[in-house]
Amino acid sequence: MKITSLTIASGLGPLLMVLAAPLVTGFIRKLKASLQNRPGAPVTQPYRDLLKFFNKEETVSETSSWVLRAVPYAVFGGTLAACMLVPVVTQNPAIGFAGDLIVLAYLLVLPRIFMALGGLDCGSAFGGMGSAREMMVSSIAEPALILALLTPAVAAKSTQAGEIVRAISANGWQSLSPGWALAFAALFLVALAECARVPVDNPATHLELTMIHEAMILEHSGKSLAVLEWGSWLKLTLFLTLLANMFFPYGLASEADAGSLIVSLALYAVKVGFLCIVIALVESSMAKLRLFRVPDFLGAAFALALLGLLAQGLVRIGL
Amino acid sequence: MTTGFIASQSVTFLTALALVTTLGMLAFRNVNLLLRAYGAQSMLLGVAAAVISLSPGRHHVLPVALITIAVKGLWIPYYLQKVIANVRMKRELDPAVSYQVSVLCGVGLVLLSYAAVEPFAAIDGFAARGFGLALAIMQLGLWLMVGRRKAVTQAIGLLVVENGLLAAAISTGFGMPMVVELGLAFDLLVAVVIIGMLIIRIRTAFSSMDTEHLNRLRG
Repeated sequence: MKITSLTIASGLGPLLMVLAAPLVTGFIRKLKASLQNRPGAPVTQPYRDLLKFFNKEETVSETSSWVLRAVPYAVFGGTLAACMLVPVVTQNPAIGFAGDLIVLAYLLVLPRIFMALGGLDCGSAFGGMGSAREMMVSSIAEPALILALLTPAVAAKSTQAGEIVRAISANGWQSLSPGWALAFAALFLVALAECARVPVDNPATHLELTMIHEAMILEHSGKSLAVLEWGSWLKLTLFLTLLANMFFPYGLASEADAGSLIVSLALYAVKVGFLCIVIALVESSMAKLRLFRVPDFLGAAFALALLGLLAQGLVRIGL
Repeated sequence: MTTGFIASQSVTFLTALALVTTLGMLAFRNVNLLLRAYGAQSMLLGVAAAVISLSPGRHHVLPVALITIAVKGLWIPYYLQKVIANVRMKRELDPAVSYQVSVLCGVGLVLLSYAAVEPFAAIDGFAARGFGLALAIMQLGLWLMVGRRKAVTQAIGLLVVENGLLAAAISTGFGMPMVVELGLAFDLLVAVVIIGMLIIRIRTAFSSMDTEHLNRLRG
């Protein structure tokens, strides 16, 4: 494979996502604050939090094993590896030759498993509960995620993210089929569940009996907590990028010249920013679901994704 | 087909979004949310009709679009919301068919509708797609009426069926004649008012909105 400037520009995509992840979270928090008539913390607050956590001493429970210490790196690493398979500002993913969207879905399993093990490792009551709940949610979210990602793949006749993006861009507005809309809605619901957003989990609280994500990271402190939090933010950014670039790939740079890269970057920022606004609106207008209602929520996502896939793949009337 | 490509594509897409809201309605418990979804659905179909009216020779559809948006998108949801505030009903707890089963059956019904129009896709793709989606919306509306017990949700099911008819009209016949459309809108208004009063009457007579109670009225 020849190293071209396009390869380099594609390779910088995941780096951009890593650097922008705290900003995305800060932006959503700021939007939520202004929707609730609070001034709220500045959008750069997550960066300051990370800096603070990195400078703090780390405390690890005596009863814990190596698993607890490995958790943040597995979470961050697994998510980063998944980010490398998504196109960000160019039409190619950073290492598209290494895997497709199915690999991406399974790379996200690694952070999840380690997060759940980390919750169990210390033997605290909260952690175990969080792990059990996380496993329940993700076992229903995963099939919906894969079905939703397969819908554009069926339309483009390839599971490679780069190929899908090129096929959809080439088809123009013709790609906006009903199956596409169903898959987008399904992936959005899955993103809310996977990234511990409001109808499923509450990202704004540490002390609540119903929490899922926060329950598993209670035992982490200092640098571990920083890496872990950063990994979770990166996961949110990854899902927003999937929503933005797999379903609206218009304007992604196919050449590595400065003009198209800048346009593509600006469009990417607009798309992700818009999705952030939608998430903030959803979080401000909905109450958290009861835990036993979460399967209904994800069941709806599964049904939408299934319908999208079947309509796109089986019935040939162009729906 | 005289409409431009972008117009037909966007009409199909808006109708598809209306179908997505209908599927959402099968999953919602909260009646207020149901009404809001119905309002959104009517708005989407109204915008679809407005897009049709932009193409040359189809300007007569514009009043239809405006009536749809004003009556079905705004007034009916507002009125029914007042009715359910009056009878203090928030959500339906005991549907005849459980919510999960209802959504999955809904998916089956949609695929059935798609399959039913598939033979016509080769003749006129735009009409076939539009009619497939409209048929799906009508079937889901009927399914909503069958699967729920409360009078309000059954009424909403009826309104969804009517929206499906509108969707069929705009994609196959580019809108019905003005007189028919006006008559429909007025009939719908009257129907909704009567349903609203009926709901309040059922509530005061049985202190419940379950239409099953009406079975006792058999002579």
